[in-house]
Amino acid sequence: MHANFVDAPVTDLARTPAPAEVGEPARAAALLSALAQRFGESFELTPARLRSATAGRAPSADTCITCDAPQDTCASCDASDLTCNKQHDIVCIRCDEGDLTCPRDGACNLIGDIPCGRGDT
Amino acid sequence: MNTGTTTTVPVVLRATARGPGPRRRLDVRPDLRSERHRIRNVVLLITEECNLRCDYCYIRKQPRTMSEATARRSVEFLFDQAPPPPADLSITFFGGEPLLEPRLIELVHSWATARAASEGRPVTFSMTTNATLLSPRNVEMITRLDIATRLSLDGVGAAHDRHRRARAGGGSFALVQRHLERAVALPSVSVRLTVSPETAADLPASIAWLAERGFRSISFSPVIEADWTEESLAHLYRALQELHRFQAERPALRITTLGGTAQATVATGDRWGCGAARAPVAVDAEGHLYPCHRFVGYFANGPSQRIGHVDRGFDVGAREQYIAANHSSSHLGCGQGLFDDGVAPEARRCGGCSLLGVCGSNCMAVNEHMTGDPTRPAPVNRVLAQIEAAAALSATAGPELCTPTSWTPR
Repeated sequence: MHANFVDAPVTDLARTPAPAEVGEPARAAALLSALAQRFGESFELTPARLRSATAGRAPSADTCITCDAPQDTCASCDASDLTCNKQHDIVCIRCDEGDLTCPRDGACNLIGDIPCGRGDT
Repeated sequence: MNTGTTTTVPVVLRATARGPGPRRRLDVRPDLRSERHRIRNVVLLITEECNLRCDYCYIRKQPRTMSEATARRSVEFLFDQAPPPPADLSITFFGGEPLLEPRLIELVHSWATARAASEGRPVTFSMTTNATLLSPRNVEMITRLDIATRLSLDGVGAAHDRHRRARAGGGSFALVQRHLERAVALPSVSVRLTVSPETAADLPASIAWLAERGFRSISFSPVIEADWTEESLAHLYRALQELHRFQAERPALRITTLGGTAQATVATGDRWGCGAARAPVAVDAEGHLYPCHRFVGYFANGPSQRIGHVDRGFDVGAREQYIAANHSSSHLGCGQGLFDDGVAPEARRCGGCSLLGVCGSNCMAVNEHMTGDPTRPAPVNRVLAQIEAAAALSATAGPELCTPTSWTPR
């Protein structure tokens, strides 16, 4: 067993304290609120707005072999790397597809600050 | 709509890196016998030394260079662990600065191509470099070996020099600039810019400058561990809006980070993450295996994140748990996602969030670095994801939704 993993019953998880500081979500919320005030509607996102804004963008019939999501959907990795981003850059430098996206065999799933080297060009 | 509000909230989303914390037992149980989980790539940290000292770099610099024996064993390990031919494989040269060790690059290339030829399968190569060592000799080598190359830059002039410092302390842009004319002709070359709070406003100008010099594939990534303030996040938001417009006017240019952002914002549902520990694995200079190169750096070669060694093979249990942790159903969520699923807040995980597709929650290395848990993203992911998604939507929904930008280079 990997030294750092605790093979504990799932029911014990609720008693496992979150390592993140309690204040972090509050800081994030304050920042988002401030940015929404500054930029107005264009910055505010709701699930309904997201669906509305992206309605009509039909996903490709092809699906990602890795996640079975529509290819256009999992092309989200281009938004990555993280930074991968998020690595905001989970993207192969040759095929420009992200870690979830490679329609060929799903093996193109590298964090984006490295090129996958596959000969997709 | 820009309200013109300039409220300043004295809030800093400060990175609070932690060591590994207690782990949860995960429900996902990957079948390691499946070809899906066999490796196809190794990221070789052929040296952990670098001629630069970029202050945000996650690799802890140390004078460790991979021995020829370890390098050769790493190549054999890839081929031994990979799916059978004709599955193609790839090797990534990483560091440190890999061009400090050009001879090792040549050797690894020769061993891998010979083994691939004997098995009748392709193997390809890639490298990330800081672009300061692209001498004519190194450029000739990269071209001859057909190594896809990613140049790690921050921008132009002061934007680059702000964080990317030489060991002696000076900026490194002058070193890079003298090589760029050669670099643009490299095979499959791309540029990756790291965006910090201090350089976010410079991003559009930097990308425009690179595009003018002929680079056609450019990506960027924020330093997620940085101290982002309202002001720097606002700069980033405006910069992304500007870049969406810039990209729309230049179809031959691919600012890859922007692609698919709008579509991604509705991409909910469980999925595998970045593939760390599954398709690629990283090998440090001493042959230890890690889920990815970032784990090597963040945890300074710590044993807790190792998943094996090229001489002894995988630690199956450790690898299995990192693979399991890389499935979105294992991710706890940041607590502030965009959910529309009727699920109780305490049960919400990343798979139900509308920002999953643009969020970095799937980077286990960053998660573990920042929260102590590879399955628990930090709230900064949520903030950056909303900035990215909102910028993409405002750009693609039409100019009426775009915030007029007053961005000017600093």
